[in-house]
Amino acid sequence: MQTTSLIFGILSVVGMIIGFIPCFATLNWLNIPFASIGLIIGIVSLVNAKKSENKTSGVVGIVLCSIAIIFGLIRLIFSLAFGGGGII
Amino acid sequence: MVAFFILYSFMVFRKNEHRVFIRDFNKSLFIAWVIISVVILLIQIAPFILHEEFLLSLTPTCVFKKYFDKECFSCGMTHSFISISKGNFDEAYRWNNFSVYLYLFFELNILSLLLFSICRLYRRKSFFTFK
Repeated sequence: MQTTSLIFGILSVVGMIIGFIPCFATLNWLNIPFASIGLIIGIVSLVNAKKSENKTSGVVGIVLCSIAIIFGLIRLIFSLAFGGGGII
Repeated sequence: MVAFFILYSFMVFRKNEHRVFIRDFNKSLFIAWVIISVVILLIQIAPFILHEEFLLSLTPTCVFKKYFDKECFSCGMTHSFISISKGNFDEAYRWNNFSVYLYLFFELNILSLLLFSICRLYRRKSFFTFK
């Protein structure tokens, strides 16, 4: 599950970077829910992890998903504020 | 968040847990690369399988063009990809000159993934197992 969260994190960061390209802000409407799923998986994997288990992958997955959500939201807000309608 | 990340990395290295993490990270990167490449491959195969008019009806009109009455750098990309699938590179270049290079980059990406996978299998490693 931690690896799944990490995969979701990497994919969502890639999606976030593509979403930063002008005219591709629409991608963030898909990317933010996707990153949220990764975040939930990461949190669940950390909660269920045993004490002796290595939790690094899960933590990095959560951090990457959080970065994708925060920056994706900022991008969307900018797009909405400057007349892009969350699309441009 | 950056400070937290640096602190956590320091803790991980102190506990010598980074080897496991690097293995997991390599595995995740590879799986993410495969997923992205499959999506790219589907985009490239679509003009060969689906009808041209159906494909054009799926792609929306550019909002940038609608609002500002100017073409953005991705305008004409679908037309261009359809032209490339027919072998009309001149027409593709006229629709969108950036898309020919993008198509080439997609091809290179898939080729490098294939080469990487063949090398891994040649070394008798399982496809998704990383040391």
